[in-house]
Amino acid sequence: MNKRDCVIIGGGSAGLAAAIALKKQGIDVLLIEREDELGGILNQCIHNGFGLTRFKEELTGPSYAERMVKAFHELKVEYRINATITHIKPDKTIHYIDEEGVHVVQAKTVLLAMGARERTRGNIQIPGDRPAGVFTAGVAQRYLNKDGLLVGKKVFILGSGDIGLIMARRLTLVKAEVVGVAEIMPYSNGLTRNLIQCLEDYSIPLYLSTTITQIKGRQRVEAIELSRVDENLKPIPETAFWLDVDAVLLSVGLIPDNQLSMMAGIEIDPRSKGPKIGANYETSIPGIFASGNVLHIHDVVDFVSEEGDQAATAILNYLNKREETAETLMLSTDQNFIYALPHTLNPNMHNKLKYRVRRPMHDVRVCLVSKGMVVHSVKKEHLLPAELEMMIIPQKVLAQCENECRLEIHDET
Amino acid sequence: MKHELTCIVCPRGCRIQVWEEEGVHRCEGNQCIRGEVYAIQEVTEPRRMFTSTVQLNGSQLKRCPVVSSSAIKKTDVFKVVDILENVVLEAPVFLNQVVIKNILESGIDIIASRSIKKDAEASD
Amino acid sequence: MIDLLIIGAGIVGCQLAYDLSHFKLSVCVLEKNVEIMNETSSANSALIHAGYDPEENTLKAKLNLIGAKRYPDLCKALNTDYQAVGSLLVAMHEDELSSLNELYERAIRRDVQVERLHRDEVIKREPNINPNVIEALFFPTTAIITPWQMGYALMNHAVLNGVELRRNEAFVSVVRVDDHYCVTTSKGTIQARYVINAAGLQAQSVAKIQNPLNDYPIQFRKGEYQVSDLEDENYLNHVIYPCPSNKGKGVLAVKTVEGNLMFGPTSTVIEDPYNHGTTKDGLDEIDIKIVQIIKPLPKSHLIRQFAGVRPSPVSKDFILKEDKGWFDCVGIDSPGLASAPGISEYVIENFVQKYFILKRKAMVEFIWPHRIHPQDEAKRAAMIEMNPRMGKIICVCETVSEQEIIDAIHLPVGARSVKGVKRLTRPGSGRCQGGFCETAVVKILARELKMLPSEVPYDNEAFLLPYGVEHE
Repeated sequence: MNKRDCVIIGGGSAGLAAAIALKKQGIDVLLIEREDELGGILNQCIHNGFGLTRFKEELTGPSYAERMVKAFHELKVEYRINATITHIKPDKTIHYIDEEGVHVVQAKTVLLAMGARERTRGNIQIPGDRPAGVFTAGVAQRYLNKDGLLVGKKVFILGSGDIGLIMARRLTLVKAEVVGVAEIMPYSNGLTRNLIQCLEDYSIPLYLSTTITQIKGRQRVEAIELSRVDENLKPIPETAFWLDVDAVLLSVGLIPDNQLSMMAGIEIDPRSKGPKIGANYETSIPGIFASGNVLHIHDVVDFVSEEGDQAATAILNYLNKREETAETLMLSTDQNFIYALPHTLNPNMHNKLKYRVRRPMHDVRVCLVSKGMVVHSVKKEHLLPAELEMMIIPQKVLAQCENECRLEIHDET
Repeated sequence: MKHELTCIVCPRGCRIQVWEEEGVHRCEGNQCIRGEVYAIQEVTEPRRMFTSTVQLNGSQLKRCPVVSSSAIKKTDVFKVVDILENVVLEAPVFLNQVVIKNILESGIDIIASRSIKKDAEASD
Repeated sequence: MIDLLIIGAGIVGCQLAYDLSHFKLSVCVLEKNVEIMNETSSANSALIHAGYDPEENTLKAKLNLIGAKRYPDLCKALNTDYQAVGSLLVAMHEDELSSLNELYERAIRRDVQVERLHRDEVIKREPNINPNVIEALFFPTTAIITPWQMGYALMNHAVLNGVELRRNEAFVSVVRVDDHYCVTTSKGTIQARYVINAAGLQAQSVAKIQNPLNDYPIQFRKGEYQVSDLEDENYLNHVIYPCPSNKGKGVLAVKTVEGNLMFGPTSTVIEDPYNHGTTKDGLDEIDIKIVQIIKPLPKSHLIRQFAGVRPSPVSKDFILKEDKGWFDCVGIDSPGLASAPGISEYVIENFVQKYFILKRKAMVEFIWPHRIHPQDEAKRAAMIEMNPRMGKIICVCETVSEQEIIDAIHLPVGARSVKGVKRLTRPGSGRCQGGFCETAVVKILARELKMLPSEVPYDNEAFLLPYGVEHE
């Protein structure tokens, strides 16, 4: 059987970063990508704003990808494209199919870097007709930016996350009319920059606390019903109004794509929807690591790549058996957080916590609490659900903790 | 005249007021100097990085992504869109290949933002 | 001049075409949609009911039993899915026991296999049943099939054996000319000695065009459904029925052949037969009713909602009637799918055989193209070696290769739309709902059917616009 030190699943920004980092250390890596080119979703994200952290300049999605791919090829990392993994077994054998046949690889370590998929109409259950013309934002983006196909002439976008906003501008620039963007929450989930440069610049209305409550159209979308929602996000029937559109784009969130992880029996956190990990990105199966959007949804690609780098370091330690089997600390959170990573902390090193809050907050203190005592805290003027937050917990802080610690939001006043 | 705008420099999103006083722009509401620079630029001559695609022949990909070499005037955005509608590229394309030099006499180029191999299978 | 024209390629039209293709007859099938099996026949519970449910002395009772008996052989011959998973009809309250008893007696009378199960036994066999269950009837012969797969198999077999299928061509009007009918369609005329109206949702309108005196009272009933993720494949072992009421069979929990669970249908009377939208009330009703029979599933596991419309006869029975060489099949609602082979036999016996002496002919067997998903790795390897495109996976959720999609397009009755590809090979049916594969499917359809991507239909119409100058 074909044997490898490390098999990386997914050739997007996490997988590429990890492959580059590992190969530089002389590790025998095989990267497997299901699409016909490396780079992942970046290749269709033609707007710019990527790479400020990693490359200290603003790049478009494709040029960020190309930079990574170039480094990858210079190191002559081995890879397969158009290759689909059928299953990963807990013993780290990986089965995949491509046009050359069925392949089985025995890996010493595996890095899950499969990225995410989009939430669909079925996931959010918009009632109404089921005609053509309802697309997820990513599918519409791919049609437009790679295939030269336009999804509609009069488009409405549900969801004000960055992908929705970017698509509003993109469609406007190809002279489709973007009738509006609706957001079920009372605040936008996108960056202020995108709100201004994608919506305000083109006078596209943003309907907050509003959602689509019905879709009409026999063969093709003809109209949508919008309704305002109450504080429990329930539509208020008397606020309903109709808009004529021929396409609806759904930008209603990404879900880490863990079909393969689940088949392998890896434990998934229902909150982050990604594998449960330790401070070294290791999943519940020793030797299988996860990084990037398969682990949790990021807003900035630079941090996806960074996770790839860090997972590579952890894999290297694992392969060199440098990993200490230390006591770990369970990390929990209060109800202000959607999730926090990692699920267990390592008290023998500095730990980088990543978290996302449930609603916007101002002037609060993010506290790490152990045995009822605040052991570490950071003041935060602004916390937004749209922004992934990070904080470093010094090793000496963790050394004082026992068994578990908890992330809490405390009022600053 | 007073302009009011939301700062995009950081997530704080300050509401900044900008007005002209004896030929000098003044700001209020910003909490840092970066906000002032942004606000004054935004009211005097707003600029935007421009990204789009142009038609591509000779590849399975039907569009080639392009980007402006630096920010263009906001008022030029749709003029550039119109110009690009008539551009057709042939694969192979190289990263940063100039698609249109000195667009609208601005000193700014429109360049390809990825490289694309010529595809033997692709028909045009 | 052809011998027989069948209007409509739903399950009844497909079954008739298949049965008639065994004989020396010239048969044509008219279908107004781009794809066959496009309406009521594909949006239903996908069940072969055991046959205990229809009222005594009805065509439904008689033909359901014939259908249920015929399906196992039919599916075997056509190599289509058939799983006799069995069903549990559950009583949750004391006051439902009398109707349970009644159905038990009826099943015995009709020779439908049935077993009474006490609470403990029900819970043992179906751990995720609502624990309030007090008793259940077990019908081991209730089966699940894939309706459109069945339809495509029947029609492919029929076309391979000489039946002509004219799709994307609608019935417009008909006149009786001497000894035959002249049917005007959206694309031309067809001269046929005899006509069978199997037009489903349109059957009573078509009947009325033929003879204004044929005014069959029909109500359109919409049934909404929820579909769960494959994650819940092993959540249930059987089809679960609540105790039926005067409103019908109620909201069921159906395990589908593919492994998804399906909850529904609701039953709402509507005016417009093409109003097949889901509604908030309908979906809420499913949420409430389904937990009365099974333990609740997380809402996040639901990946799709759909609705089907069925033409419900006010008489509560199928209407199968001849009018001067014209035969109407009207009001084919539940158990229409289960009864289709029975309906076809009935039409042939009572109508076709009146006018023709049926002579069998030599048949060509329809063989499904290879599928990669169900194979073990050795078989997969062999298939890919024969044809590398078998290894190019387009749909990751359901493991569907490019070659399988190409094969589905080039069947005698092949896919002509995104929906057709989805029905025949499943891309778009999984948890990404087409997110990863739809763009690729459009390109393959365009290439194989020699059209532009912007001409590829989603259902009946093209759905994408070229941006800039379109080129292949």
